[in-house]
Amino acid sequence: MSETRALEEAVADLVPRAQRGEAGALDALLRACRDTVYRWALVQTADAEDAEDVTQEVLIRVHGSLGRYEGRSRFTTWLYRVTHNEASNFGRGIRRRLNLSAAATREATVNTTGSTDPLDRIHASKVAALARDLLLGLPRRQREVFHLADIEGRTADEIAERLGMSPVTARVHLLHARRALRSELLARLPDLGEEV
Amino acid sequence: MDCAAARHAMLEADPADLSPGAGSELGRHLEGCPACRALAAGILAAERGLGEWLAAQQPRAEAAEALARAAAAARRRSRVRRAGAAGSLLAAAAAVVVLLLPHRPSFPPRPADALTEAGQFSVTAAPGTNLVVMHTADPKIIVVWYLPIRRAS
Repeated sequence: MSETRALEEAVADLVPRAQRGEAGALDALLRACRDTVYRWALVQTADAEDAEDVTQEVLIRVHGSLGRYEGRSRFTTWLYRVTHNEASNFGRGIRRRLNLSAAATREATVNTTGSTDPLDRIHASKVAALARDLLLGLPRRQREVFHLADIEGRTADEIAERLGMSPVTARVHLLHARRALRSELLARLPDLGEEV
Repeated sequence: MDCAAARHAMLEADPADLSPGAGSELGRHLEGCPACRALAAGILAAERGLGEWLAAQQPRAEAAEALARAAAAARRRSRVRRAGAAGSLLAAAAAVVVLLLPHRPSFPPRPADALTEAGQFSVTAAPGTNLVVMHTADPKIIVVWYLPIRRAS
């Protein structure tokens, strides 16, 4: 199950309770949304510190605007739009920092091979780190579409609804993103297929 | 499909098509070509690693601290809005009182230090001015009420 779907299920009963002003429900809702919003913001801003600031603004917006959410779209769709808008506003007038600062970068040691061999794990971590840098170096639209399609598993129609573009445009961004990411990955790691 | 075409197709293929056995032409090629299959597996592993990296990302601030800041900021904004609304009501009430007075004041208004007081608000206007500053119980919140005066030509 994708992270977004898991969040949708987790907040299904919290949203109406928070809208009714039930004590604790709003805090629980914000707490449930926070990490997902941060990860969306990280993809959208490509900067860990900016993502934290955007997350903060989104939580404030949700706090103040939840009463206006009418349930015509999924809560996560509404939340994604709020995050997208906040990230867009945040990005205006600010010089983009495409490289994560050393302090903000939290290296995740990922083991994509499932191997217990330390050399395999180092290689997997190196591949993942390169893939991360390549993703964050893509243009924003491509990052968003790639994340929603190939990491979140969303369809072109769903992506189009969230990002306010046509499904064809979403598909074009996705193909550009994949091509840019994979061709660079293969260029920098020519032995990629030999050690997996 | 030969290997060159397969490697070209891999750059834009859906992840589902990068596995041998997928019904696509690329999938059929991968079934019979170990080298391309390994390359496709490498791409899939890298993108899976990307998903795992992203899933591990969290904001640095502690949850409680972040939520407390968000809630406090929202509460501050609500207070300002409420103060603004209360100020508007007060302004409307004051205007009604002025209109209902049997002897309306002539402009420029007579000196007055205290026009009215309601609830937690104290309202003062400097003599002869049309600017009212309302101080609230919160020293950080001040409501400024400006009355445009239409002067006879």
